Amino acid sequence: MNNERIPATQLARAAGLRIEKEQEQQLEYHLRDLHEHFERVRLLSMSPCDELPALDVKDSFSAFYISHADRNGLLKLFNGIHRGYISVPRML
Amino acid sequence: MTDLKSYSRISAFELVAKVQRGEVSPVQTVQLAIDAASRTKSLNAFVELNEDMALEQAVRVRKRMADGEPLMLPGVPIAVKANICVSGMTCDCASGSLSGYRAPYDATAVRLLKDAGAVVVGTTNMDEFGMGSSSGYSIHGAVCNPFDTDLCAGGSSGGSAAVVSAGVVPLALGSDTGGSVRQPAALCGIHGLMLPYGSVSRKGLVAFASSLDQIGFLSRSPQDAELISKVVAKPDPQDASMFAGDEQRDFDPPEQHVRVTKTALSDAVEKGVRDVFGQFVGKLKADGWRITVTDEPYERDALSSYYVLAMSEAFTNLARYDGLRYGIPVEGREYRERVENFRTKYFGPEVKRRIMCGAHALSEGYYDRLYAKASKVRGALRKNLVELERRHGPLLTPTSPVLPFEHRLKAQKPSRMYECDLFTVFANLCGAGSASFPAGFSGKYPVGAMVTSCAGSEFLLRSCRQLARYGCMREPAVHA
Repeated sequence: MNNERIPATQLARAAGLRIEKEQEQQLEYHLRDLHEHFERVRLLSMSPCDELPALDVKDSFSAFYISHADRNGLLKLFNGIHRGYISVPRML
Repeated sequence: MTDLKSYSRISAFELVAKVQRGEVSPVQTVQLAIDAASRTKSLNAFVELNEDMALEQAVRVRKRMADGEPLMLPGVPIAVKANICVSGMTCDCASGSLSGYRAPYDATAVRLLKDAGAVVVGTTNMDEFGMGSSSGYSIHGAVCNPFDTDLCAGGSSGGSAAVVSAGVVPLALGSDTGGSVRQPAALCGIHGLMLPYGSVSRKGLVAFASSLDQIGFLSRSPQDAELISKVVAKPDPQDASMFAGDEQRDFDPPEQHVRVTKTALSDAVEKGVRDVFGQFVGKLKADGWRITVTDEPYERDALSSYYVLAMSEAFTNLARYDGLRYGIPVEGREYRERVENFRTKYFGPEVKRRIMCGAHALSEGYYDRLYAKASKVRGALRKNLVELERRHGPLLTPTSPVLPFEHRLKAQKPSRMYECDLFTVFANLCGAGSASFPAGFSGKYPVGAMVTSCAGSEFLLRSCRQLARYGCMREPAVHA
């Protein structure tokens, strides 16, 4: 991955939207503006001891995925468990 | 007390006492709230004011009182943000995509309030799906600030904040994902409280970013905030993200000791806010409080991480609005075209921007570098927040780094609007409790200060009560 942004039209399609021609320029400008936040996160160097938190149901993501378990949500849930982001024993 | 002037200044606490003593009936209090709402229409704060339903509820409360049922909030009129379900009332989240949608049931928080005798008079205006800091991204038009109607009320719970500030109701419910209760409370000169994540059931709250969303309270005194907390903060088996029993708390922060982040005293904060906040801290010092100025780790990264996480969750949560289950159906040759037509037509500009950014953050190749890293910041932030609070007490900051601003600000750079959440996102990211209270005034504009704590609801409420004594409140220009 590099610093390149995904074009607005492509993002819109992923988000189930369509961009009208006249809105494209303004939207690109706004997305470029917001992309600065994303770049800040991307370039952040975390300490090796900053692990992803093991979360339980009362926390966040596990509850989030359970309550919104559509196909993508379920995939991410299993992905999260596989990578150790979500603590299964605590979740159960 | 049956005149509008006294009603609009009374706290919920005092109102309860008067109703219980029989000085005023629940029907009268509700009628007063409806009269107050009609006198403050210029604020554009209500999405729906349902006089018939409210009076019916008030009659039922009167009967329950006559039957000797003990009620904690008998006849207290309340307003509820239009993204929290109130059975039979509009719950459109100020979005065209949910136009005309009426909630089929009560959210748990609303049910508990009704059980306690409170009466919902209406649902309030907001930023679409809670996305914004001005309450200007609404299909119903912008909410005006009661202190100056040319300025915004803050957001996204701007409608709820405006009606409490203008004396229409003593209490209102809002939702807080990154400061949406506390920031409008500060801009409207009132109190805004968000208890730690998991204290209040989210059942019936329309999801924006589920791991950050919380129902919060707007009031004109810390005592009223405590009162509503006692009623609403109860376990709910229908919300799996709630505390199973008592809150987990493993430390006691020092008393009369707060820490102030360097950023709160820097140029990142508008001069008017900085001056008032500086004076507020000065008052604390003079009264013997210990103040420690700290460098909060990941402070500037918190905002960016918050937006990565919130937008990602919003992208997933809003996927359900496809025009088939909710809203007005649109034409299209096949499913995808229908969905695109619906979402393009009925989502507002801010919602579109955020779900597109969410799509970016969750895209293949970006997920680990953005979403996962933002999650790491979140974990590190919480760890640091607890550690610092253990040594130096809870975090004290201005609630908003800016004074109430003009509606057109939102049309400029979106990132300028996001800066409004500079201090508020900490609590949501860490699952901490946080309360905003009026600290003072910069000219005619209110400035709020905010205390954020990981030490549980009881400590937060006590700190807020102690600190709010050093602030001051005024009546706004638009008042019932």
